[in-house]
Amino acid sequence: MIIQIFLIAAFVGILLYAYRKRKESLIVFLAIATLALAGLIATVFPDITIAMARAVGIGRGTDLVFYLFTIISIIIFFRYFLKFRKMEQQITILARKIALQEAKDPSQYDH
Amino acid sequence: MLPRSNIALVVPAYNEGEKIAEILTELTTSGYTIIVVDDGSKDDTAEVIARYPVHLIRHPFNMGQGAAIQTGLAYALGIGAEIMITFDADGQHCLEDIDTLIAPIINDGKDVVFGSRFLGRAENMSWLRGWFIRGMSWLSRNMSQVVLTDANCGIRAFNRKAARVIRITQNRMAHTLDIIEEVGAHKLAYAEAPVTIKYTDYSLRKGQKMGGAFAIFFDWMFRI
Repeated sequence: MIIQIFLIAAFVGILLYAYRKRKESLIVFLAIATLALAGLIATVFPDITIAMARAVGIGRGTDLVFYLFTIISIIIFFRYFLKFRKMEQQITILARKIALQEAKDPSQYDH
Repeated sequence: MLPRSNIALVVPAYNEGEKIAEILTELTTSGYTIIVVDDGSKDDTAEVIARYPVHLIRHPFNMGQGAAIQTGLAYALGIGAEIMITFDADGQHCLEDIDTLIAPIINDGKDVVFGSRFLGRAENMSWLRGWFIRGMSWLSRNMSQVVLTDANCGIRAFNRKAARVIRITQNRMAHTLDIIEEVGAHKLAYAEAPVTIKYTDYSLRKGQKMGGAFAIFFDWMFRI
Protein backbone atom coordinates (compact mmCIF):
# COMPACT_ATOMS: atom_id res chain seq x y z
CA MET A 1 0.00 0.00 0.00
CA ILE A 2 1.16 3.52 -0.80
CA ILE A 3 0.50 4.81 2.73
CA GLN A 4 2.88 2.18 4.11
CA ILE A 5 5.68 3.46 1.87
CA PHE A 6 5.09 7.02 3.12
CA LEU A 7 4.96 5.94 6.75
CA ILE A 8 8.08 3.79 6.46
CA ALA A 9 9.96 6.68 4.82
CA ALA A 10 8.78 9.06 7.56
CA PHE A 11 9.77 6.75 10.42
CA VAL A 12 13.17 6.02 8.86
CA GLY A 13 13.66 9.77 8.39
CA ILE A 14 12.82 10.42 12.06
CA LEU A 15 15.21 7.65 13.13
CA LEU A 16 18.05 9.07 11.08
CA TYR A 17 17.39 12.60 12.32
CA ALA A 18 17.29 11.45 15.95
CA TYR A 19 20.52 9.49 15.41
CA ARG A 20 22.30 12.56 14.05
CA LYS A 21 21.19 14.61 17.08
CA ARG A 22 21.99 11.86 19.62
CA LYS A 23 24.85 13.86 21.16
CA GLU A 24 22.52 16.73 22.18
CA SER A 25 20.40 14.52 24.41
CA LEU A 26 20.79 10.79 24.66
CA ILE A 27 17.49 10.34 26.51
CA VAL A 28 15.49 12.23 23.89
CA PHE A 29 17.25 10.25 21.17
CA LEU A 30 16.41 6.93 22.83
CA ALA A 31 12.79 7.93 23.39
CA ILE A 32 12.28 9.14 19.82
CA ALA A 33 14.15 6.16 18.38
CA THR A 34 11.99 3.76 20.39
CA LEU A 35 8.78 5.45 19.25
CA ALA A 36 9.89 5.60 15.60
CA LEU A 37 10.99 1.99 15.69
CA ALA A 38 7.67 0.94 17.20
CA GLY A 39 5.89 2.91 14.47
CA LEU A 40 8.03 1.24 11.83
CA ILE A 41 7.30 -2.25 13.12
CA ALA A 42 3.58 -1.47 13.40
CA THR A 43 3.56 -0.23 9.79
CA VAL A 44 5.39 -3.20 8.35
CA PHE A 45 3.57 -5.78 10.49
CA PRO A 46 0.14 -4.29 11.23
CA ASP A 47 -0.98 -7.66 12.62
CA ILE A 48 1.17 -7.05 15.69
CA THR A 49 -0.83 -4.00 16.80
CA ILE A 50 -4.05 -5.86 16.10
CA ALA A 51 -2.90 -8.77 18.26
CA MET A 52 -1.75 -6.34 21.00
CA ALA A 53 -5.02 -4.43 20.86
CA ARG A 54 -7.04 -7.64 21.13
CA ALA A 55 -4.89 -8.75 24.06
CA VAL A 56 -5.85 -5.63 26.05
CA GLY A 57 -9.46 -5.66 24.88
CA ILE A 58 -9.43 -2.96 22.18
CA GLY A 59 -11.04 -3.76 18.83
CA ARG A 60 -8.64 -2.27 16.32
CA GLY A 61 -4.87 -1.80 16.23
CA THR A 62 -5.33 1.84 15.12
CA ASP A 63 -7.35 2.57 18.26
CA LEU A 64 -4.54 1.25 20.45
CA VAL A 65 -2.00 3.45 18.66
CA PHE A 66 -4.35 6.44 18.97
CA TYR A 67 -4.83 5.94 22.73
CA LEU A 68 -1.09 5.63 23.31
CA PHE A 69 -0.46 8.73 21.19
CA THR A 70 -2.97 10.71 23.25
CA ILE A 71 -1.42 9.69 26.56
CA ILE A 72 2.12 10.45 25.43
CA SER A 73 1.04 13.84 24.01
CA ILE A 74 -0.57 14.87 27.29
CA ILE A 75 2.54 13.92 29.27
CA ILE A 76 4.77 15.88 26.88
CA PHE A 77 2.43 18.90 26.97
CA PHE A 78 2.54 19.09 30.76
CA ARG A 79 6.27 18.60 30.95
CA TYR A 80 6.85 21.47 28.54
CA PHE A 81 4.24 23.64 30.21
CA LEU A 82 5.96 23.28 33.60
CA LYS A 83 9.38 23.76 32.04
CA PHE A 84 8.17 26.92 30.33
CA ARG A 85 6.78 28.31 33.59
CA LYS A 86 10.03 27.56 35.38
CA MET A 87 12.08 29.26 32.68
CA GLU A 88 9.80 32.28 32.81
CA GLN A 89 10.44 32.56 36.54
CA GLN A 90 14.18 32.20 36.09
CA ILE A 91 14.21 34.91 33.43
CA THR A 92 12.19 37.17 35.73
CA ILE A 93 14.72 36.75 38.54
CA LEU A 94 17.58 37.49 36.16
CA ALA A 95 15.88 40.54 34.61
CA ARG A 96 15.01 41.85 38.10
CA LYS A 97 18.65 41.63 39.18
CA ILE A 98 19.75 43.65 36.15
CA ALA A 99 16.96 46.20 36.65
CA LEU A 100 17.88 46.68 40.33
CA GLN A 101 21.56 47.18 39.49
CA GLU A 102 20.68 49.90 36.99
CA ALA A 103 18.12 51.68 39.17
CA LYS A 104 18.28 55.48 39.35
CA ASP A 105 17.71 57.28 42.62
CA PRO A 106 16.22 60.79 42.84
CA SER A 107 19.63 62.46 43.04
CA GLN A 108 20.20 61.46 39.42
CA TYR A 109 17.00 62.93 37.99
CA ASP A 110 16.94 65.38 35.06
CA HIS A 111 15.80 68.87 36.01
CA MET B 1 4.97 59.18 64.06
CA LEU B 2 6.87 57.60 61.18
CA PRO B 3 8.38 60.20 58.82
CA ARG B 4 6.79 60.02 55.37
CA SER B 5 10.18 59.47 53.75
CA ASN B 6 10.33 56.08 55.50
CA ILE B 7 7.16 55.04 53.69
CA ALA B 8 7.75 53.94 50.10
CA LEU B 9 5.08 53.96 47.43
CA VAL B 10 5.78 51.22 44.91
CA VAL B 11 4.20 52.29 41.62
CA PRO B 12 4.23 49.79 38.75
CA ALA B 13 3.86 51.53 35.39
CA TYR B 14 3.35 50.11 31.92
CA ASN B 15 2.68 52.43 28.98
CA GLU B 16 1.35 55.18 31.24
CA GLY B 17 3.07 58.08 29.42
CA GLU B 18 -0.23 59.84 28.85
CA LYS B 19 -1.22 60.15 32.50
CA ILE B 20 1.77 59.44 34.72
CA ALA B 21 3.06 63.05 34.82
CA GLU B 22 -0.16 64.16 36.49
CA ILE B 23 0.07 61.40 39.12
CA LEU B 24 3.81 61.87 39.77
CA THR B 25 3.29 65.61 40.27
CA GLU B 26 0.88 64.76 43.06
CA LEU B 27 2.97 61.93 44.53
CA THR B 28 6.31 63.75 44.55
CA THR B 29 4.91 66.63 46.61
CA SER B 30 3.47 64.24 49.22
CA GLY B 31 6.74 63.63 51.09
CA TYR B 32 6.59 59.85 50.62
CA THR B 33 9.48 58.03 48.95
CA ILE B 34 8.32 57.18 45.43
CA ILE B 35 9.62 54.08 43.64
CA VAL B 36 8.40 53.70 40.08
CA VAL B 37 8.95 50.40 38.29
CA ASP B 38 8.69 50.92 34.55
CA ASP B 39 7.70 47.49 33.35
CA GLY B 40 9.26 47.63 29.89
CA SER B 41 6.96 50.38 28.57
CA LYS B 42 7.01 50.93 24.82
CA ASP B 43 5.89 54.56 25.01
CA ASP B 44 7.64 57.53 26.68
CA THR B 45 6.77 56.46 30.26
CA ALA B 46 10.43 56.17 31.34
CA GLU B 47 11.35 59.60 29.89
CA VAL B 48 8.44 61.24 31.71
CA ILE B 49 9.33 59.49 34.99
CA ALA B 50 12.97 60.59 34.70
CA ARG B 51 11.84 64.23 35.01
CA TYR B 52 10.59 63.61 38.54
CA PRO B 53 12.60 63.11 41.76
CA VAL B 54 11.69 59.45 42.13
CA HIS B 55 13.52 56.16 42.29
CA LEU B 56 13.25 54.63 38.82
CA ILE B 57 13.75 50.96 38.07
CA ARG B 58 13.29 49.78 34.50
CA HIS B 59 12.50 46.22 33.55
CA PRO B 60 14.35 45.36 30.33
CA PHE B 61 11.08 44.01 28.89
CA ASN B 62 7.47 43.71 29.97
CA MET B 63 7.08 41.09 32.71
CA GLY B 64 3.72 41.97 34.25
CA GLN B 65 2.42 43.87 37.25
CA GLY B 66 3.18 41.08 39.73
CA ALA B 67 6.83 41.04 38.68
CA ALA B 68 6.99 44.85 38.86
CA ILE B 69 5.61 44.87 42.41
CA GLN B 70 8.12 42.23 43.52
CA THR B 71 10.95 44.29 42.01
CA GLY B 72 9.70 47.44 43.74
CA LEU B 73 9.45 45.70 47.12
CA ALA B 74 13.00 44.32 46.79
CA TYR B 75 14.27 47.81 45.98
CA ALA B 76 12.34 49.41 48.85
CA LEU B 77 13.87 46.90 51.30
CA GLY B 78 17.29 47.82 49.92
CA ILE B 79 16.87 51.55 50.57
CA GLY B 80 15.60 50.90 54.09
CA ALA B 81 11.91 51.77 53.78
CA GLU B 82 9.88 50.85 56.89
CA ILE B 83 6.51 50.48 55.14
CA MET B 84 5.88 49.72 51.47
CA ILE B 85 2.63 50.59 49.73
CA THR B 86 1.58 49.30 46.32
CA PHE B 87 -0.02 52.16 44.45
CA ASP B 88 -1.35 52.17 40.88
CA ALA B 89 -0.06 54.60 38.26
CA ASP B 90 -3.44 55.14 36.61
CA GLY B 91 -5.04 57.41 39.22
CA GLN B 92 -7.30 54.77 40.80
CA HIS B 93 -5.89 55.21 44.29
CA CYS B 94 -5.98 58.13 46.72
CA LEU B 95 -3.07 59.43 48.77
CA GLU B 96 -5.54 60.33 51.55
CA ASP B 97 -6.09 56.60 52.18
CA ILE B 98 -2.48 55.94 53.13
CA ASP B 99 -2.81 57.05 56.77
CA THR B 100 -5.75 54.67 57.25
CA LEU B 101 -3.87 51.92 55.47
CA ILE B 102 -0.70 52.10 57.57
CA ALA B 103 -2.42 52.60 60.93
CA PRO B 104 -2.88 48.84 61.63
CA ILE B 105 0.85 48.28 60.97
CA ILE B 106 1.96 51.13 63.23
CA ASN B 107 -0.62 50.77 66.01
CA ASP B 108 -1.60 47.07 66.02
CA GLY B 109 1.60 45.38 64.81
CA LYS B 110 0.04 44.02 61.62
CA ASP B 111 2.37 42.88 58.82
CA VAL B 112 0.09 43.48 55.83
CA VAL B 113 -2.93 45.72 55.32
CA PHE B 114 -5.17 45.22 52.30
CA GLY B 115 -7.28 48.07 50.96
CA SER B 116 -10.95 47.24 50.53
CA ARG B 117 -13.30 49.14 48.23
CA PHE B 118 -16.23 47.29 49.80
CA LEU B 119 -15.39 48.69 53.25
CA GLY B 120 -14.69 52.05 51.62
CA ARG B 121 -15.98 53.32 48.31
CA ALA B 122 -15.67 52.51 44.61
CA GLU B 123 -16.53 55.36 42.30
CA ASN B 124 -17.95 54.45 38.89
CA MET B 125 -17.55 50.72 39.37
CA SER B 126 -19.91 48.68 37.21
CA TRP B 127 -22.15 46.25 39.10
CA LEU B 128 -20.76 43.39 37.01
CA ARG B 129 -17.19 44.14 38.09
CA GLY B 130 -18.34 44.57 41.68
CA TRP B 131 -20.01 41.19 41.79
CA PHE B 132 -17.17 39.52 39.98
CA ILE B 133 -14.67 40.80 42.55
CA ARG B 134 -17.00 39.72 45.36
CA GLY B 135 -17.05 36.25 43.79
CA MET B 136 -13.30 36.13 43.55
CA SER B 137 -12.99 37.30 47.16
CA TRP B 138 -15.31 34.51 48.25
CA LEU B 139 -13.20 31.99 46.35
CA SER B 140 -9.94 33.23 47.84
CA ARG B 141 -11.45 33.22 51.36
CA ASN B 142 -12.19 29.55 50.95
CA MET B 143 -8.92 28.58 49.35
CA SER B 144 -6.34 30.55 51.32
CA GLN B 145 -7.89 30.91 54.79
CA VAL B 146 -7.23 34.65 54.56
CA VAL B 147 -10.53 36.41 55.13
CA LEU B 148 -10.88 39.54 53.00
CA THR B 149 -13.87 41.44 51.68
CA ASP B 150 -11.88 42.55 48.62
CA ALA B 151 -9.36 40.10 47.18
CA ASN B 152 -8.48 42.16 44.15
CA CYS B 153 -7.55 45.57 45.49
CA GLY B 154 -4.30 47.11 44.20
CA ILE B 155 -3.53 49.34 47.20
CA ARG B 156 -1.91 47.52 50.13
CA ALA B 157 0.69 48.16 52.81
CA PHE B 158 3.51 45.85 53.88
CA ASN B 159 5.98 46.12 56.74
CA ARG B 160 9.58 45.01 56.22
CA LYS B 161 8.94 41.51 57.51
CA ALA B 162 6.10 40.97 55.03
CA ALA B 163 8.06 42.49 52.13
CA ARG B 164 10.95 40.13 52.91
CA VAL B 165 8.99 36.88 53.05
CA ILE B 166 6.36 37.39 50.35
CA ARG B 167 7.41 35.91 47.03
CA ILE B 168 5.22 36.91 44.12
CA THR B 169 5.75 34.27 41.48
CA GLN B 170 2.72 35.15 39.39
CA ASN B 171 4.12 37.70 36.99
CA ARG B 172 0.81 38.78 35.57
CA MET B 173 -2.43 39.81 37.21
CA ALA B 174 -2.89 36.68 39.32
CA HIS B 175 -0.40 38.23 41.78
CA THR B 176 -3.36 39.66 43.72
CA LEU B 177 -4.31 36.13 44.76
CA ASP B 178 -0.66 35.13 45.02
CA ILE B 179 -0.02 37.79 47.69
CA ILE B 180 -3.05 36.65 49.67
CA GLU B 181 -1.86 33.07 49.56
CA GLU B 182 1.62 34.09 50.69
CA VAL B 183 0.14 35.98 53.65
CA GLY B 184 -1.68 32.79 54.67
CA ALA B 185 1.31 30.54 54.07
CA HIS B 186 3.67 32.68 56.16
CA LYS B 187 1.01 33.28 58.82
CA LEU B 188 1.47 37.05 58.57
CA ALA B 189 -0.78 39.26 60.67
CA TYR B 190 -3.13 41.10 58.33
CA ALA B 191 -5.96 43.60 58.39
CA GLU B 192 -8.22 45.37 55.93
CA ALA B 193 -8.72 49.10 55.66
CA PRO B 194 -11.40 51.08 53.82
CA VAL B 195 -10.13 52.80 50.68
CA THR B 196 -11.62 54.69 47.76
CA ILE B 197 -11.09 53.37 44.26
CA LYS B 198 -11.78 55.88 41.50
CA TYR B 199 -12.61 54.31 38.19
CA THR B 200 -12.02 56.97 35.57
CA ASP B 201 -12.31 56.68 31.79
CA TYR B 202 -8.52 56.44 31.70
CA SER B 203 -8.15 53.76 34.36
CA LEU B 204 -10.94 51.71 32.80
CA ARG B 205 -9.31 51.95 29.40
CA LYS B 206 -5.86 51.13 30.80
CA GLY B 207 -6.80 48.65 33.48
CA GLN B 208 -7.82 45.06 33.40
CA LYS B 209 -10.68 44.18 31.14
CA MET B 210 -13.29 41.92 32.62
CA GLY B 211 -11.82 39.15 30.48
CA GLY B 212 -8.64 39.68 32.49
CA ALA B 213 -10.43 38.24 35.47
CA PHE B 214 -10.68 34.90 33.70
CA ALA B 215 -7.02 35.14 32.79
CA ILE B 216 -6.25 35.67 36.49
CA PHE B 217 -8.18 32.57 37.39
CA PHE B 218 -6.45 30.53 34.68
CA ASP B 219 -2.97 31.70 35.70
CA TRP B 220 -3.72 30.99 39.31
CA MET B 221 -5.10 27.50 38.70
CA PHE B 222 -1.96 26.57 36.77
CA ARG B 223 0.51 28.12 39.19
CA ILE B 224 3.53 26.17 40.31
